[in-house]
Amino acid sequence: DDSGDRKAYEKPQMSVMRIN
Amino acid sequence: MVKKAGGAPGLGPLSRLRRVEGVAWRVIGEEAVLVNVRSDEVMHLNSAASFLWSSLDGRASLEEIALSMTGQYDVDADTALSDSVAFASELVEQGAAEVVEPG
Repeated sequence: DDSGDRKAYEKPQMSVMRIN
Repeated sequence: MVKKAGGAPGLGPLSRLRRVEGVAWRVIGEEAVLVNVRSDEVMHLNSAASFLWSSLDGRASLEEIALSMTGQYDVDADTALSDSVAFASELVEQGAAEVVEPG
């Protein structure tokens, strides 16, 4: 395991909410 | 020269983007919350997205940002780059980021 101290990776994603 | 947000540009590894001024944002923990007061939208970004967003200073290319991402996250360079380009396109389409044209 050569990940060292690197964080688990999740694909960059965003959720968008419309302001009322 | 800046390509204004709103379009769907053909972004690539050498593209440089910057955050649009009308977007207020804050990193909370490892994630980010963006408020686009122009479009009345609130955006929530996960950890990797927040890292990318925070790096959009108009100087670093997507390739450079993806490379630095590999130092922070357990991801290979190719995946980081393709994901970064795809996510950057989303940010531009949402009007949160704009492409900085060379010259």
